[in-house]
Amino acid sequence: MKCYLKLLMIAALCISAVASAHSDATGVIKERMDGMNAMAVHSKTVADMFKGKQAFDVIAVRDAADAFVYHGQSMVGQFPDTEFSRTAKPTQALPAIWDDAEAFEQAVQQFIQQSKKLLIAADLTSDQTALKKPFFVATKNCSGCHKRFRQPKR
Amino acid sequence: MKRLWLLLKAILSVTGAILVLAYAVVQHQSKAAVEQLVTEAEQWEGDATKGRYVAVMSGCIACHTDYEGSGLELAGGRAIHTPFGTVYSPNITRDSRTGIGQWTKTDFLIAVKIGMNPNGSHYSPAFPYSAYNRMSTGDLVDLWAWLSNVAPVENLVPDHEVPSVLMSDVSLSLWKSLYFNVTSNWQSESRGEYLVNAAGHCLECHAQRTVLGGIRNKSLDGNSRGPNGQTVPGITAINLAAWSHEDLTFFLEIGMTPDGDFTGGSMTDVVEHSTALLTAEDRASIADYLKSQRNTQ
Repeated sequence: MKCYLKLLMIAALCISAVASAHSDATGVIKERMDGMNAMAVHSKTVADMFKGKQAFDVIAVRDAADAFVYHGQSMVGQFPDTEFSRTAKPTQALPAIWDDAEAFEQAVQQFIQQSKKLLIAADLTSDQTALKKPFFVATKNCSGCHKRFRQPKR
Repeated sequence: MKRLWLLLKAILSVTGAILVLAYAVVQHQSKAAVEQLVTEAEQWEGDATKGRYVAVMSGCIACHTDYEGSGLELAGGRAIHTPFGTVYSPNITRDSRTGIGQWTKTDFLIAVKIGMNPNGSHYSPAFPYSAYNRMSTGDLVDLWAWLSNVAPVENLVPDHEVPSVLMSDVSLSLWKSLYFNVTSNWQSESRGEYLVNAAGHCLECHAQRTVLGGIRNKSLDGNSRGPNGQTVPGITAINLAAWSHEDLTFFLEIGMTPDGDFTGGSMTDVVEHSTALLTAEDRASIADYLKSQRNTQ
């Protein structure tokens, strides 16, 4: 558990560097960026365990799945179709979120559903190999969504 | 005025002579390469099962499928926006009218390794034959064996939206004479290098380009004018110094960066339809090469 906490602290420090770039964000843009950052911290924690950088701890997987579900559900209301939400800096959101709202909503719901499956899997087993697939399936939605709905990184 | 006219005439004559010469040289070299390929092609029998894997490692499926338009696999139509205009990936199913149903194995090898259509015209460099030229003939014959069994899909792909002068045989010959060595006898020094520089054609997106669209210095040091206007990051060993071997293999498997973020843009398709489907050994070979001193140019 100590190891996990240390790992979480290091991850938080790393992410804080990214977060500082988001310090100008306000309102819903800040909310959604904070949510993305929180999910990135959890993803990194779990990924580092799969990479063998840290000892495996099923609680970390469960916490990650929990965070994915929570932030996924929050995301639904964090992209209102307003001028501010669409364009205020430093948003990285692409217009496709609103122009193809149905596809965006569907992608978010799929992420939530697959994160719930990861949560159930983490409750049923603590086997690292068995949990890899549901983690991959849930997080595959991240790059799928980034491709269609987030500006490419510069 | 007369002097100016003479000067202009001289410039046009020299330019014309260069173009004709480039065209003649490329035609001559291509002809010799074609003859060699015809001989080689006869020596190989394709294995369709291996061919499917070659398609995955070469990115054929990702490029020749219009996912955004819900297109069928390999039926083409995917739009790729380049600084020269928009190109549409061709239909490479065996449909005889809209695909490559009338091609032979040799036609296929010539197209992929030499960048020439069966009617003898040159392909635009949006088709990465500069990299595929380095692929083994055995792999490409396997790929052909697999493609030959793919169900034909009738899908007429739009014409490229690129100025016709750039797509002319003379312009493409000039381009080839500058940037494409059809007679290259390049041998890969490792599986990883083969996957990165030949089959994976990583340089196509991750290297800087000249104003004429040629790869500037064959270094994976990033490209600020990548496909679809994207900035493509550098992936030399120096660029990747902070990435561990495991970070790289994990990225190739699920698209996650070491800080917990996930890739976007066209790399999403590369991961989903290519690198994620490779064997763990091949992903490890790619990581080995990318982290090696060989990849520091």
